[in-house]
Amino acid sequence: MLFRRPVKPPAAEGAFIRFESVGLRYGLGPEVLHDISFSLEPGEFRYIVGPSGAGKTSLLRLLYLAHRPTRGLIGVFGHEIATASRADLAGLRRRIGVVFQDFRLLDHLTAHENVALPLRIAGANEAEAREHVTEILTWVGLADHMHARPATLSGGQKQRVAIARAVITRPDLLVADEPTGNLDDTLGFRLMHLFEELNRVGTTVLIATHSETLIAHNPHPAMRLSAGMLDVPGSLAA
Amino acid sequence: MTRKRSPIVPLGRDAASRFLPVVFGLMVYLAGLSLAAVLVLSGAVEQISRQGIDVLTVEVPPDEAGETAERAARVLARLEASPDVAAAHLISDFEVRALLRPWLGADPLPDDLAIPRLIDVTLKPNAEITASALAESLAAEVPGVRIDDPKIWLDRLGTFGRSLALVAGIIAALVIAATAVMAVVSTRMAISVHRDLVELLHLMGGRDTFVARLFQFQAFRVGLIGGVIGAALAALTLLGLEQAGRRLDGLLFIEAGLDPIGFAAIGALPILTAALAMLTARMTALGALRRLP
Repeated sequence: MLFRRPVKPPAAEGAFIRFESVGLRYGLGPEVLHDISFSLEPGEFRYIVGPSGAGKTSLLRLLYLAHRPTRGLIGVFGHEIATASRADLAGLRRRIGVVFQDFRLLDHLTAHENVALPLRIAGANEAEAREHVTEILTWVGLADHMHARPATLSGGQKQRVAIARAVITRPDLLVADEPTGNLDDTLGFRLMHLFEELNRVGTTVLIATHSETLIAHNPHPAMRLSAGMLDVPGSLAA
Repeated sequence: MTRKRSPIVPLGRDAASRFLPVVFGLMVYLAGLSLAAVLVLSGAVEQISRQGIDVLTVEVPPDEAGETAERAARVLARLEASPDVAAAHLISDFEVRALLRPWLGADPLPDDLAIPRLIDVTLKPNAEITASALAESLAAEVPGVRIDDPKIWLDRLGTFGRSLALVAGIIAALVIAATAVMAVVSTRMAISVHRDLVELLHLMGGRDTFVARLFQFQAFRVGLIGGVIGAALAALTLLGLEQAGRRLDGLLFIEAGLDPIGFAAIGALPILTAALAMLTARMTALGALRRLP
């Protein structure tokens, strides 16, 4: 089994993930997210759906701590983001795996080195890391491309490398922005199976997608984002 | 076979990074020469200040009647009687005229030209009398007697040497400051070029110190390579100058060369440069990273 480590329990003082009346604007521009409120509990699997430009990526960037909100409160793993120290934020980011829409692979590194990057950052043992990375790359079907650089990989292969990198540390929260966008249905469903397996061992998964087919094939609760407003179904409301 | 891990940030691959060791090398070369100038000049100034003033020249001008021989004899007798004087030698009229020949020409000098008599005086070692005290004492006996005191000239030379050493020190400090500025600029440029990568490492939970370390090690490497090149060139230049200086042997009254400690200081420049570049790059990188959320 690929994922063995149980997820760390959240800190006692708050919800696993909590957004309260969060608003976001870039610089002096208009607000792109308005009054976003929701919470996620450990082990949940949820989608964020919405049309292009609705603010899905902005919401995810708040979740993986790439931005601070313009207003409102965000709690991650029981820590209040507004008051967390830089060292704490770095620690929290290590517990979040991110699949970026544009992959963000490093062109000068091989697929193997790209996937190993979070482990290098975490200071993992090199021999163990190598074995684990090989295992996960094999699982996503890239055993023959371990030492290929991103420039020589297809879009789908790059996406699989990006997904492998996001899950290599078995994060407590996995955030994915259109993770199956460049994949055919078969491979897309297979990777969704990987996410679900990760979710079964405790990782909370949040996927932004506009693929109704994906949702229909792998049904999980969905929150709908439209024009910066999040519609959370009653059963999921904070 | 174990594959060598690629560096996380490919810092040595862009064009600017390839030229950096050369620029660092030039800076260290200039710093090395400036430092050598400071050391050599400081040493020379110290030698000058230690220089014993044991030889004086007493000048006995003619009196109103044009008489010098009797006046010179009185001064000579007075000097020979002094407990501080080891030897006093009256320079002959012939010798004085020979000394004047380069300025006044080889033609016979007119008889009515008032030529002073000169007396070379060698003071005893540890003589307590100063040139000015001796001049006063002689002038009291024979009015108009003057002493050419080399200490005044040596003091001026020492002051000039100290000024040159100060200027060289300022140049060395400016070059070191320029090296630090260059490390700042190159680190900022590298962070700017690799901004996406830096943000990615940040989002993956890389601590500021972890990311800064990637840049500071590169700065150390570049500083060390450039430092070794610059220090080696500076040492070669100094050795060449020393060789050229040896041909002046006997013409200089001081030993003006770089001692082994000076060469050791030049040899330490690469390490100091690398450490300076590393520290500066670290502070710059940490400053830039603090701007990320």
